[in-house]
Amino acid sequence: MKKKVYSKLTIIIFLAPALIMLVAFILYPVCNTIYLSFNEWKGIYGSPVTFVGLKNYIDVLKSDSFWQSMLNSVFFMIGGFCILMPLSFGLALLITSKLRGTKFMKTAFFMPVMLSTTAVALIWVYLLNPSFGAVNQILNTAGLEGLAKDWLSTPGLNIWCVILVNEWMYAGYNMLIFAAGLVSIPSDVYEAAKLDGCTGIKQLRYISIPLSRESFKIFSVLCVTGCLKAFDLVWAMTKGGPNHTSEVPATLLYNEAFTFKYFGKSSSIGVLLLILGIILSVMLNNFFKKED
Amino acid sequence: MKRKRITALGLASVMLMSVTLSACGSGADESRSSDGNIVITVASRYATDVEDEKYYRQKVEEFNKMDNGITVEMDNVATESDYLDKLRTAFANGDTPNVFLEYGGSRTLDYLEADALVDLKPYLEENDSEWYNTFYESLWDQTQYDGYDGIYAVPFKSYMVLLFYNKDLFEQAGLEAPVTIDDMLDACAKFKEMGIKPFQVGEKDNFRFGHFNNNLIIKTLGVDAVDELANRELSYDSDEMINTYKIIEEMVANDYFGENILDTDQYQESEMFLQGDVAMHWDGTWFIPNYLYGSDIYDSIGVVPFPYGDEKYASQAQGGSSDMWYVSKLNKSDEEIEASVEFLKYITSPEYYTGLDEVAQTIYPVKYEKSDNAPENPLLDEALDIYEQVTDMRTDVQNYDPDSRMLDAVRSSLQGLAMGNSAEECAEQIMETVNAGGGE
Amino acid sequence: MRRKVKRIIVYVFAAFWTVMTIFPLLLTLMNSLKDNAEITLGMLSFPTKLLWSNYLSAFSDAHILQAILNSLIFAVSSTVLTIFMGMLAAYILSRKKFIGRNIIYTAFLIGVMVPIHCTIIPISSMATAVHGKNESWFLILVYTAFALPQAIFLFTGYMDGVSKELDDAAKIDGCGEGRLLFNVLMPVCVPIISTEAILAFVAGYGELIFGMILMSDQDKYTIARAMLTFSGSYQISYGPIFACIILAVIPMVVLYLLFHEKVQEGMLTGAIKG
Repeated sequence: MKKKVYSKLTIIIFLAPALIMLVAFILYPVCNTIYLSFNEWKGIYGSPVTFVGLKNYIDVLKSDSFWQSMLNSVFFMIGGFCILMPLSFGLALLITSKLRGTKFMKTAFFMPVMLSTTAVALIWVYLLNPSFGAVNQILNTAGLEGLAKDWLSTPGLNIWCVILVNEWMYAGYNMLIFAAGLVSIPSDVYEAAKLDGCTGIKQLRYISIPLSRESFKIFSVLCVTGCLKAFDLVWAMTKGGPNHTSEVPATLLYNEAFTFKYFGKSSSIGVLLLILGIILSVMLNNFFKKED
Repeated sequence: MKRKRITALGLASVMLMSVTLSACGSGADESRSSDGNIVITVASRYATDVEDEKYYRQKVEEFNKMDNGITVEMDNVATESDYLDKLRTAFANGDTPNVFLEYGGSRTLDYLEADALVDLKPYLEENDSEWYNTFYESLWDQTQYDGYDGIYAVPFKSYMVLLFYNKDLFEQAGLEAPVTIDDMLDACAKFKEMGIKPFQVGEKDNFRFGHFNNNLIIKTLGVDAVDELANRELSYDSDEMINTYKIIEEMVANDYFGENILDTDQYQESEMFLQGDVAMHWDGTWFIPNYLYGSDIYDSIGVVPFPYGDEKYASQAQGGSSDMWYVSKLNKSDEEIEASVEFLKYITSPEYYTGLDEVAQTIYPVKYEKSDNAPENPLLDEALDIYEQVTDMRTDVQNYDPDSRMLDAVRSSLQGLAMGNSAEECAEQIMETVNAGGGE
Repeated sequence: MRRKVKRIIVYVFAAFWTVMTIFPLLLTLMNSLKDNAEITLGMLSFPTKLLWSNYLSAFSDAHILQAILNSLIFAVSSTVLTIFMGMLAAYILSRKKFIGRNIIYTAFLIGVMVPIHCTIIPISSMATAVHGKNESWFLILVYTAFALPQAIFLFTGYMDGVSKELDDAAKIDGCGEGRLLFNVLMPVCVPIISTEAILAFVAGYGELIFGMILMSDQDKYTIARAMLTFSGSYQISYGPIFACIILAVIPMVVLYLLFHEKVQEGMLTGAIKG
């Protein structure tokens, strides 16, 4: 009995610091967002907050721009799973391998994140510029003039350019998450496998990937939620333009609140993103549980 | 308000924590500094190392050294979006700066409607309107709103959009500087034939076409059209308006605006004009101090009014106050408001501008005496001559619109023209926002 | 023979990606020595003459050294707090069964998905209420709060993979909960702790929006805020921006390498996973 009380006390004491932070800095703002999403507010202290029920949600769900931005968000997720995931995992295998020069490699791979979004955006916007940039010049010298494009101003193409830059930038970031999982696979597992003649691709398939399941789960959840709230790189590269073609939900949310001062509508986009994020995360969790 | 109470209940723990924490905080009066001076905060975007902004910061330091019982704390954020993020947040929380920079129009009307702005009229009219009369009369228009009897801002910077042209290239082509829009189009055709870029526009920053269209509207339909657009007497999809988009559409189709304009930004546009192989460039008068003055190309550049479509409107122009100061009264004491006004009088005094004119020369909203130390600047003198002849000005057309979404809606739709949309499609897209209405 | 081919492919890919990710650093370095016209119209060319004055304006106009120091303090403090609080919470979530565990876990999940712009105004108003504006401690708490959910997520996942036999052995030895966590589990979790330390540090070090909204004193500017000094209304000075980035990246690379060595050490000691 005494032990039980003691155990409960431990739970409370250990969880308290993190919970207080969570409630104060995240759940309180989230509740505030939910509250505002049912109201209209101009964002000025003391100005009236008018209850409008579901109007904001209806407005958002009826607008083409929201669905267009959601589509771009889906593209982000496709890019995340089809490009970023294999790429990051591959890089993690590289830097945890016995190759020479891993120290230099892992610094290089993480460099884009360290240089900041500002630098990355400036450089890639320039490289993709059809007048001066290197991308089209390389294509032209390679005799592939036909592939040279107006990368960031062609609707449909521009969002993919941002996505590719995003994968390029964050491959190093996610590499670290995978690497942490890989290094904790005991080396005797590999040695035993080696004795069974399990090397190379086979080793990857039967050991590295299955034993990194936890890392893949973490990646998936972070990727889905990260794609839903992606903002910085889009804002720095295209500002959602030209003519709103590369808008993502977070840029819409930002503009509604901070440019147009429709805080209610902005909040309703925020709530929709949260709901979607929770649903997708729970689905991913179940998916990975089933594999157990 | 019932709903609010429910939310509040849910947040009890947070409230409790904040209350406990705030109880620990000191109860000192924040508007007083340790030496008994009254402290006011002034928010601006003047944080960069450009001459006029350095001058501003230096003058504020001087103000603080004066024995007037006021200490000014500057909060300068240079980039527009970041500055506005911070200002909007401050307004939402009710802890605004005492004095802040804004650009007028519907955005500041919201503050006025929420009763957050000080009416400066009584102060301006003191002593026979002494302060009021130091400014150019035409600029007061932007500081007032229909239905509100008062003046809610003082101009700090003013501008006018002009057409800069490369005299060498025009001579080479045997052309005179354009006077009418048709002249401009003819010049474009001639330059294109010669393999010279008539313009190289940086439409990645969509205010570029925004300004161009402002001028087309003002110079073909007149400033009254601006007011009619705002009160919806004139529609954005009327034939008159579609004609203005058509000019842009045709210029895009003929490549008069240059190459890859959606991938070129405003800075690249300016630098390319300075390189000397682009014939024309429309820009605000700020282009003179920020780019032209002191550059190698200075002597080759001429300046004319933006070409007109209808001679009646030749003397009207896009221009006005670009930066204005506002005084907040949200949770502010009378003492702080008095101090804020005192500061504004100092920062908009003719002496301030005389000194400013020595380091950065452009048009200013205040009448001041030119200092002997001010350098020669013939290009600016030309610009000033044009400015003197202007009879009526409007700033960004959508700045007068009651719906804060319109500025972005119009600029984005005009950007669509650069992507190959037709004038009609452009009009249609603008109308989507108009029809959605302010809504709230 | 086939193995050799595979090896070559691996090396070629490694070299390719190294080049792909290292060239921005070289570009940044090159452009930190050029003037605006050279950058906007020819970012890829070598500087015609080296413009060291960009570094001077980084020092004198943006006070970049002060800003780097501030960002270091904010980022390191919040990283330490994140790891400490994160480990405590992860231990409970991974090792204890209690009612409400899943709800708490999901609540932390909300933390990784909340769009930042929804939180600015409430957090800023909280800062006013608790006199946290212009205060380092408040900003450090904000950074911690935003790094925590991901940390808890990573730590919990990792600890789930650590065999419970370890706990049992320690308990038989008479370890209390605190010692079990800090003396027994913590060393095993070094790879994930170091990884999260890097991620939390990078997030705090480069953060702009809260550093800008909450801090107004120039003495307390973060790096990103200090760099705004060069993007004005009508002109951007790209050279000094690139110079600031170069200066700011140096301490980060050092810390990154230090921490990632710890991850590799985890591999050498051969952590116990079951």
